[in-house]
Amino acid sequence: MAHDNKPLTRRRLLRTGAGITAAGVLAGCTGGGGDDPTDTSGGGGTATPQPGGSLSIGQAKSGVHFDPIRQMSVPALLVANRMYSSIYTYGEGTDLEPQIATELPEVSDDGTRWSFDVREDAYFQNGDQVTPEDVAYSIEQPVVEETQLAADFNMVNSVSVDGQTITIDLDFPYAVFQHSLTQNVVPKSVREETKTDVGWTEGYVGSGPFELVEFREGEHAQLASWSDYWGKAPNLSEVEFVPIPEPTTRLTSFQNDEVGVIQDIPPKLWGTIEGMNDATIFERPAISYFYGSFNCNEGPTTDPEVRRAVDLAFSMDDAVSNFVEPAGVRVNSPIPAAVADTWDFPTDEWADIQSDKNVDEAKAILDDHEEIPADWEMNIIVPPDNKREQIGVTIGNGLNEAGYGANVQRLDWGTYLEKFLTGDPNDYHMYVLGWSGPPDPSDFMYNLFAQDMAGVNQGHFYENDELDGYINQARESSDREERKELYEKAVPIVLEERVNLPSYTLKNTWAVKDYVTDFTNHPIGYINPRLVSSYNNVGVQ
Amino acid sequence: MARYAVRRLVQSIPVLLGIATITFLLINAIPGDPIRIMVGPNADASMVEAIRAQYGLDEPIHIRYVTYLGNLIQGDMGRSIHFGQPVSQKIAERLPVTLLLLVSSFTFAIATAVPMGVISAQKRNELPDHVSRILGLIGVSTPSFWIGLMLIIIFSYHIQLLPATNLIMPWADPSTVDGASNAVDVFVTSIEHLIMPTITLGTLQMAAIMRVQRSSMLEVLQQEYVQLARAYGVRERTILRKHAFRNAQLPVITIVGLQITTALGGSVLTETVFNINGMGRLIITAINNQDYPLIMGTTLFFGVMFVIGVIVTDLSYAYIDPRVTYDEVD
Repeated sequence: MAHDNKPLTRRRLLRTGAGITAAGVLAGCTGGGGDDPTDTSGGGGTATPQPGGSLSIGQAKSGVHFDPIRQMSVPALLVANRMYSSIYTYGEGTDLEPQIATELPEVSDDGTRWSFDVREDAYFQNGDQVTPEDVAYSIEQPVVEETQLAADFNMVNSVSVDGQTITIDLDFPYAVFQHSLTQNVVPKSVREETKTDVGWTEGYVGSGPFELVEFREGEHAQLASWSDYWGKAPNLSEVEFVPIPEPTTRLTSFQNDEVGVIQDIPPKLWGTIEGMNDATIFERPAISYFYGSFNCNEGPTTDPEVRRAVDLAFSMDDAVSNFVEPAGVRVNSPIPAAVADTWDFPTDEWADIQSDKNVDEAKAILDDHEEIPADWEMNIIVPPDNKREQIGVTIGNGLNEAGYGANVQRLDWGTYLEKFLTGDPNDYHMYVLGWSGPPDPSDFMYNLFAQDMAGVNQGHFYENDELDGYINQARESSDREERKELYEKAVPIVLEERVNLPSYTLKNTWAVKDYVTDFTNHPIGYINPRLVSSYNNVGVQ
Repeated sequence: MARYAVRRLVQSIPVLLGIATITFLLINAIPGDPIRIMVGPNADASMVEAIRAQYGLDEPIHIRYVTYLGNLIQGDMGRSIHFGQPVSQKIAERLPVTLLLLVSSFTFAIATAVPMGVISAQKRNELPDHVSRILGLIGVSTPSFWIGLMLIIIFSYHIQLLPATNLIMPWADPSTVDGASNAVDVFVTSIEHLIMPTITLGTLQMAAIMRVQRSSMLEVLQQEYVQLARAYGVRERTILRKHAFRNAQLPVITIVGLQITTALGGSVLTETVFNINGMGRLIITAINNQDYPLIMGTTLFFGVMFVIGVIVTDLSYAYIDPRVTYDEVD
C-alpha cells in the first residue's frame, strides 16, 4: 500500500533494464540535499493533498494488541490512537481539548470531583452511539480488571452517569488526573462480548477516523478511513503501519518509497536523511527525562560529597554531545524541557547548580573520604540501550581519570528492572534510567523522588522529609501557582543533593517524504503520527 | 529401514525431554522477571504479583516444571506472556515463513555448492579451483548480517532493484499483495522478496557444502577403482558422473544435515535484517521479553527440527549408498 505517485518503481525498473537505470538512480540518490531539511518546529507541506491517498508508515517496533483497557505499548498506540477517540486529547501543545467530551472538565475546588458532558453525535465504527456508559466503562475497567493501566485510575472512588453528564469522584485530589482523561473510549457491549481471559485481542471497534482492516503482528496494521466518521474527515483513505526494527532497513525502505514516513532516526543515520533531497526530518524534544541516579540507601554513595565527586569526575555535557545528539538534547532538571517551559520554571538557575568537570577536585574528595578505599570500584548498571550505556561508560571513565575504578554492567531489561530497586550496593552504586509520562511535573517528581516510590519506581531510596512534603503537597493541590512554588523548592534539593544527575531528553523524530502534506510532530510521542487533529490533516500529493 | 526410523524417533524423545529440562532450568536461573518487563517500571508491586500469579509464575520451580511437562504431553505449549496467545498459535503463524526461507536457502546452497565443488576438484589448482576456494573462504568467514546489509545497501538502497523488507508467500492472495493482480504477479513478487534473504542465509551453507564436496571428490578421485577406470580408458566425464560423484555424496549429506542448525541460527539474523516475520524474530522477541513459555516452545521446536534433520540425514545414507542397510544392522 505505497502511495500512488512513485516516480520510479521496482517493477518498472526491472522491466526497463536494471543496469542502465541503476546508474541514474545511484547518481540521484547520492545527490545533495536541500538547504535545511531539518524541521525543528513541526509544520508540513502546504501543497494540496490528493484526496483519498494512501500512506505507509515505518515504525520501529510492532504493537501486540489494541485494547485500551490494558496498557498498550507505544508502538501499539501509534496505530490505536487513529482507531479510537479519547475523552480528551492534546491540542497543538500539551493543553487538553475535548474529543468525546463536549468541553473541558469542571473540577471542584478541592480537586476531587470532575465532571463533563459526553457529546451526542459521536458513533462507534459499528454504528452504535458512544454513550456515557461506554465512557464510564473505559475509566472503571482498568481497575476492575486490574490491568497495567489501573495505576492511572485507582484513585477514582466512583463514576456516576446522569443523562449525558459524567461525574467522577476521586479519593484524593490528583493533579495528573486530567491526563488520565486522555483515555481511549471502547464500546462496552462489544468488548464485553468479544474479550478473552487476557483482554480484548480482536474485533476492535473504535470511534476514531480510521478503522482497522487487518493486523498481523510484526508485519503490518492496515487502516482505512471510516466513511461515517463523526468528526473531521481524514484526507487519507488508507494507512499502513509497517514495523521495521532494523534501522538501516527502515531507512532503505524510506529511501525506496516503500514507506513515506519513518519513526525514530538513530544518530548515525541522521546525516543520510539530511542528505536526501526529497525528505524532511521532524524533530521535537519529547516529554522524557534520562538520568544517572545514585544508591542513597547503602554504601559510599549515601554521602552527598561522594555523589558530588562523581559528578565532578566527568562532563555530562560532553557525554550527551558525543553519544546522544542529535537524537536527544541535554537537560538540567528532572522536569522535561517542554513541561518546564510551559510552567516557566527557572531552568537556567537549576542548570547552574550542576558541576563542571573537575577531576582534581573529584579525586581530592574521594581520596580524603574515609569510606572509600584506594581500589574502590563503583558499580554502575545500565539497561540494554546504547545511549544509556555510553552515559554509564563516560561516568566510569571519569572515575578512572580520578584514580578509581568503575564496573559498568549492561543488563537485560528483566534483570535490570529487578536489580535497580534493591538498594544494595553490591548490585549498584549508580544506575542510568529514564522516565516518560504525561506533561505534568508531578508525574516526574512523584514517581522519581517521593519516598512512597522507593523500591517501586526509584532505586535511590533518598529520604528527605522536606522534599517529600513539597512533592506530596504539590501532587494533591489543584492550584497551579501553589504547585509551581512547591516544585521550585523541591527541584533544587534534588539537584544540590545529587540524588539524580540529569542527562538528556530524547527527541521525537520522524522522517517524512515531501509528497506527504501537513505532517506535524507532537511532543508527546505516542500521540504521533497525528493524521487528523484540530489543526492538521495529513494527505499525499 | 522403517523399523530403524521408528526406533530413532522413539530415541529422540529423551533427547527432547533433555532439551526441555535444560532450557527450563536455564531460563529460570537467569535473573529477571518477565512480568516486570511486560508491565514496565511504572506498575505497582501488587499488580505485578497479581499478574505473576495469573501466569503461574508464583509457584515453586518444580511445580511449574511438572505442570509444564504435563501440559506439553497433552499438546499444550502454554500461553505466551508477551503476546497473550497460545505458543503453538504463534509458532504456526511464523513457521511457514521460516520454512520457505530455509528451503530456498538450502536450494540455493546445494545448487551452487555441488557443481562448484565438483569443478573445483576436477580442475584442482587451476583457476576455477582458486576462485571456488576463495569464495568458500569468504563465505564461511563473513557474518550473514553483514552480507545482508551489504545486499540491501547495494540492491535496495543504491540500485533499487530488490525490496529490502518482508517476505511474500508465493501462494498469497493477490488482493493482499501490493501491485499484484494475479497468481503470477504474486509469484514474481515473492521471488523478488526472496532473493536477498536467500543469498544471505545460504552463503554460509553454500561455502561449507562446497568445501566438503571438493575434498570428498578429491578423495574419491584418488581411489584405486577410479585409477583403474582411467587405466581402462573410461572417459573422465563418465568417471565423474557414474563412479565418483555418487560415492562422494555421503560427507556432503552429513554436512547438509548439520547445516540445519547453522541455518536456524542464521535465520534469526536474516529475519531481523530483512524484517521478515518468522521464527527467528519470534525467538528474539521471546528472549528480549523473557517470555518463558515462548522460549520453551521455540527452543523445543528448533530441537525437533534438528532431530528430524539428523534422522533424515541418516536415512539418506541408505538411499545414496546401497551398502548401508539399517535393518540388517538392527
